[in-house]
Amino acid sequence: MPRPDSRSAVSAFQRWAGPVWVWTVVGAMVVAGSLGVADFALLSNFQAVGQAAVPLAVVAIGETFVILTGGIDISVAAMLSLGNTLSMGLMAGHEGRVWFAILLTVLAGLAAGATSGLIVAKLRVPSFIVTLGAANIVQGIVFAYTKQGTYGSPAPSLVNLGYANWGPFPALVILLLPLLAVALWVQNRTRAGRHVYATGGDPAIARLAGISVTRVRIAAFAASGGLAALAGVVISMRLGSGEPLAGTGFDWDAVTAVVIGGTALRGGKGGVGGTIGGVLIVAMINDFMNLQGISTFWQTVAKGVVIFAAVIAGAGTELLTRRRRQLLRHLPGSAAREAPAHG
Amino acid sequence: MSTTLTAPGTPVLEASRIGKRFGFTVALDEVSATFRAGEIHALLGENGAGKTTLTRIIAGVESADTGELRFAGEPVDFASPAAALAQGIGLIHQELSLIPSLSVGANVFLGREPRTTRGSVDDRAIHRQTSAILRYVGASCRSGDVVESLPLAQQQLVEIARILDRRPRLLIMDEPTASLSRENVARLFEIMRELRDSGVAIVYISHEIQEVFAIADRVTVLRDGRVTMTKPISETKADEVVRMMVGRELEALFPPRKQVARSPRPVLEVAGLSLPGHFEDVSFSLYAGEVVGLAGLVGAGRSELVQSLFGAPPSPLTPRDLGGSVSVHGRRVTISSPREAIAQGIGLVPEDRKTEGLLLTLALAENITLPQLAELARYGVVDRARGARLAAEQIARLRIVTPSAAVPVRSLSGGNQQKVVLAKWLAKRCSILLLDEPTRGVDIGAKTEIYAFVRELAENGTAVLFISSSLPEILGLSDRILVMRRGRIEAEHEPDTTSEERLLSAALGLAREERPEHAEA
Repeated sequence: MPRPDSRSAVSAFQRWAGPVWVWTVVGAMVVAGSLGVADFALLSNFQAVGQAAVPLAVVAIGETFVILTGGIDISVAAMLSLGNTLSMGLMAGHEGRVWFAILLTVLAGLAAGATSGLIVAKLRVPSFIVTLGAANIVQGIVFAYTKQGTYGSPAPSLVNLGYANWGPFPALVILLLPLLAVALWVQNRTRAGRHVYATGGDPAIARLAGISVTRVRIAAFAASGGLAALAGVVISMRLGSGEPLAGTGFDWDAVTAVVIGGTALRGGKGGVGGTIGGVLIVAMINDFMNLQGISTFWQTVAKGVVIFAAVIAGAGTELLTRRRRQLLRHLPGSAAREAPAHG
Repeated sequence: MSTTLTAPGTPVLEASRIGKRFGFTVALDEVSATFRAGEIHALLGENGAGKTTLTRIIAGVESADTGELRFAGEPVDFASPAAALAQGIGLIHQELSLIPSLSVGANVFLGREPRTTRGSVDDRAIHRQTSAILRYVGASCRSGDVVESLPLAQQQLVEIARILDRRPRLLIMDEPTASLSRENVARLFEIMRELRDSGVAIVYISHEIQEVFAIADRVTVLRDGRVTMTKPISETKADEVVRMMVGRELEALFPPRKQVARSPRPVLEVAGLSLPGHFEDVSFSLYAGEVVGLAGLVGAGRSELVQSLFGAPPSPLTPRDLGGSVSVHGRRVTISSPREAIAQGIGLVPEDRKTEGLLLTLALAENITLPQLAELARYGVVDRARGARLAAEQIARLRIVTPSAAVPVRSLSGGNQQKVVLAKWLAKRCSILLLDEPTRGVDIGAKTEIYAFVRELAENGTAVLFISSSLPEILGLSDRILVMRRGRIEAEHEPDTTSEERLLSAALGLAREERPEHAEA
């Protein structure tokens, strides 16, 4: 019995881009913003939103992999601060050291992330606590070597990139595309990606199928650490220097973007595509509020409301589908019970 | 693929003197068995006889404490099911081993995804091969379907397909037909015969005796972790098999029954109770002062029934999914949560005490007083002295062995932990007590004590409904016995006029004539 094409088209879309409703919300926000918010529908504003969203996108892509395995990484803010100050210190304004600094920074992030992953996977400690510890250690080290002051500076060529546009497109967005493509390829087309979903879906069964759940977890945390450090380099293109608190807020913004992008916190479901939608939603909320002159306090409240809405919608539909399946599974035909209470 | 045509009759797997213990329980005691190429070998036994443990050891899920396994003549000790499967031993479980959120194809190839030259997973090859194997097993789902969206029977077929795709030389099937339709079972039997004829050794576990006689070439019966019989199927009959499955000596463990005058009105009346997928049209009554045993096989719906009576049907179902009616003391009630069940005087000692019956890290006394904090509290503050007195009373009464009432429950032995769960409800004085496998994993001494308490409770007017997979326990402790099979009450027996054989036959569905006309107790 051939399946209607529309259904497989939808599932293919979801695999690459995430839930349809996330992009519906993104579209609705663009429409609502264009109609209701002054100065929103300007090319320059769209460019600004895009530029501002890239560092968060880089962090959130890594966070997505960790959450897909059923973990959470709340050390990404500290890792970003580390990446930012370390790369700027190494670069110290020299054009010739750009690649060297980026490479070393990303390696440092990978190593730090892998360490957290090792503890989570081997000692079976909840990742929340492990990365909380890692966040404190890393942020502390950053404070110690920067003496809590501005530290280092980017090469001149990088400074321009943060606000540059190539044609109508922000340079940072163009630079993000290859990273996004690699992440989507790993997620959907490689064994590693499939094993990430299996680990998050049911680690015991994954292990029984011969998958090294330990290695999958370590790799996910390493990727998250490496990408957060890379985001630290990206943000220097906007800050123009190394700031020991550059990462502040990125931990929860990343988790927010991943969750409202449709990735289940208990793992096994979701993906990078939806996360990008989540990043855009977060970025547009901030943009609306800035354009309207609303204080950052209310931006925070708005983000909280969006998280609640996303989580409630997600949990609600999940529970309903599980119930419906359970009931239908055993009731052939349309004999759906009208569930009279038994009293 | 590891198919090598082996001459029929050659031993593929020889298990010799396999021993395995879980705590107090001896699961397997010097079990030896030989599984041969070209033979369907049925493994039969009651719940807990050791069939599943034996197959799990063979398939590398667990390891044996003693004994030796030889696969194709070589001694083996598999570290994991994946390792066993790679060598050609496939296990199809009762429990599904599929990742619910992944597609059918991804599950069939999990852990061994084929790759293209570019390093990507070769989804085309997966799709092609999965489609072929699904067609072979007669599944109607597709490679791209997400497993959790499929009906149970299709998931079971996917599980079968996943293992068959590896072309095992030894195929172990642990109740593969439980959730399948008749056509699916017929197709599965065809496949089993084809595989047998091509030289595969098949181990087949089923509770459906007729199925076993229809398909198997040889049958081995286990009882209490030992082999009691192994014969070609042509040399035995269903009644002999059933006799070999039971037939333990009844130990003098059980307190004498006292004839208590039955009150005219039942304490609990259940009429036409149904829960989709678990049980249907269940009707019975419980009277004050009686102990009613609920016999049946694992999966017959017994646990789900008592959980539902306690207002906690298995997730994701809720009490609102229940059909039928429940009356307590002659009044119709709606029990929509454990809280209301407790308010109606119903207590439940759940099957898994560690996750459902106890707060392991809390003190003994705190666990005992948990259901009645309201009575112990004034203005929300718990009267600790009264709580301690109550706990001490119960500890003495149940002879719980503990250094003090303040130690965490986790530190107690299994038998003592179970007594704590009982103490919770004794202290609460409920009028209806539901017990789900109250003596599982408990040593013999604690068992006798638990039996005595249950009897004592009944004599003091409590109505007790208890589930047990041990037929001697059911026979020894019950005043009346209800037998459940596939979600229905199949029969009602009196302990004096029935036997283990007759109970087991009813639970297996071999004794249709004993179905009660209607369910008036």
